Amino acid sequence: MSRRQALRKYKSYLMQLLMIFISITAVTPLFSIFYTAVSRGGRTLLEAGLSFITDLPPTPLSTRVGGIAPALVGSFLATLLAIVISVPVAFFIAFLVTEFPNTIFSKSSEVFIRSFSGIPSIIVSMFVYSAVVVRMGTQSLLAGSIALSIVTLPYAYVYLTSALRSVPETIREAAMSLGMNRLKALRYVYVGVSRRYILTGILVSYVRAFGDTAPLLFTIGFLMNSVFAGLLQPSNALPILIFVYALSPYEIFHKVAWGATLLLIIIYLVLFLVSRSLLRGVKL
Amino acid sequence: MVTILSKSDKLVFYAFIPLVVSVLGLFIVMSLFITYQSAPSLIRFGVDLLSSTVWRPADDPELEKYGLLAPVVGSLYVSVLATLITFPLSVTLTFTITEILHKRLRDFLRSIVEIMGGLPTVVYGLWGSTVLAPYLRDFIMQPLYDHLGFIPIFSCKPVSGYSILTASLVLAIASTPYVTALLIEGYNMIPVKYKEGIICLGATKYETFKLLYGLLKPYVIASLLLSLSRALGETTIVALTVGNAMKLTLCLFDSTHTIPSLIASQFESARLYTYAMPTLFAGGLLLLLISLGASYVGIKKMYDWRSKIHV
Repeated sequence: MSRRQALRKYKSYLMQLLMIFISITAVTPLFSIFYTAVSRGGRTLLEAGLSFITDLPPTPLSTRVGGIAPALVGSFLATLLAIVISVPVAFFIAFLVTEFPNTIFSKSSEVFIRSFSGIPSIIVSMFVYSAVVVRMGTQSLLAGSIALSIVTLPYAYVYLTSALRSVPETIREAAMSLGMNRLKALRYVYVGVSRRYILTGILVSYVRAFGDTAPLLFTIGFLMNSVFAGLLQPSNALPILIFVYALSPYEIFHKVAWGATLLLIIIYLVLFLVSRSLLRGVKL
Repeated sequence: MVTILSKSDKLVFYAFIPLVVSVLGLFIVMSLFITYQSAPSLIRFGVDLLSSTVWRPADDPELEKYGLLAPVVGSLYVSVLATLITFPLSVTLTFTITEILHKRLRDFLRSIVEIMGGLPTVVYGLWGSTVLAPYLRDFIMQPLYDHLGFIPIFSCKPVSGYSILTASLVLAIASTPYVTALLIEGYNMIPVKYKEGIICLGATKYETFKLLYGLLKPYVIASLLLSLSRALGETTIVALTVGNAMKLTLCLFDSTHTIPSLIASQFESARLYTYAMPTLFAGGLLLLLISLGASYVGIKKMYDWRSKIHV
């Protein structure tokens, strides 16, 4: 081997090592986040025990940590409702775009809806505040869900498009050759073939919406004195609770915020793993 | 490709058009609504909105005065800096995952990046404000201020750790997985024959990387634009780490406002004043325009690249 070749080889090794090093640096924050959440949030969870998920939040002067029941219930419900609104819309647009790709409508909705993800979610929150909250007179679970559904629409769209695109061309042709039209093919063939992809898409959108804070800031309210007040009444959400408590000056609120964060991370990881295992079975 | 549509297919297609139109309509209504809400402030303050940094609410509407210069500069500063930090991190992560590591490690690293990408932003925000901010203040900002304080961007005394630097760093950490996912997707689109050709010429791994990076470059720029657009609108992380002070500053260690953090912190009290709310909406409108612009150009560039690389 000539000297030049050896030099090139060493340079390559060196650069690869450097890249691995930078990559490790880029992902270390995750471990720091997990460590802090477990050590700080774990203390809160141990102190409060099971009542952390069933009790009402503390007041600044409380000595007991209390719980985050309103936020948990609000989060689950608001996210569910948001998904119920946004997934069907996203699904049918995805269907239109994948099945009729060469029309002006499909092309423009593809670009438009993808650009939708460029809309800052705080602006969606402001919009829903003045269009829904002001008109209804109060912040509510419903307003929060509407804001969340606008924000999740592009995500759901992206996942569902790739789900429908995963249907192999041969299966498409087979469906067509049986004389089905595209709607029938969707109903009897495509949905069945890509069901795991679709389920994963819905789940991933749910996870996204569950952790989103900004769309809920001015819309969902901050319910503290009861667990659930009604669809048209103020509610609370896990990320909002963490955000507001983190900005507050009280030590006990910070404690609750870390406990809630640990819980949020656990819920997120569980949903993540479920969607992962759903995808693992897919082989077309 | 020509799509042949039967009669019933055409019917299906036309049946879905109202749905698409209503979604596009929602977008237009939203933009018009924001514009309408911000009109009083735009009419009253005009260009002053962009040239002053005053934030003076008053009971008498005549005395109210607002300017958005500080949060506009703050927004651009924080998100551009974050995107610049994201760039090397995500490019190296992409190549480490796709080329360098062996299967097991690659899947492991990929999962970690995926988990990071979906982690709620409020978790990043809380971590940034309680763990990273004090650490940066004591070990990075203070020494830099002590020794290099004569350089303008290091020239202010770090007080709380909540600063432009902290916000950009947390924002960069949070957006790296997103950009990495985009880049991996783009990387896998490069036809295998290019890579085969490069390896046939006897290139080392690093040289392969350099050549493939050259191919990927327009796509990298597009991804960074999309990341910039997201960073501009990011609220939670920034509001928890940037310090929330109405201050026009270029010093990295100073706190400032971005448009979203200003909206998040002032929205509740803005209801009480005549022009505060319209001014916040004006800020929102500006943000919408900038970030939609960045995201549109990014997506357009991405599509162009895709159609070019698939020969």
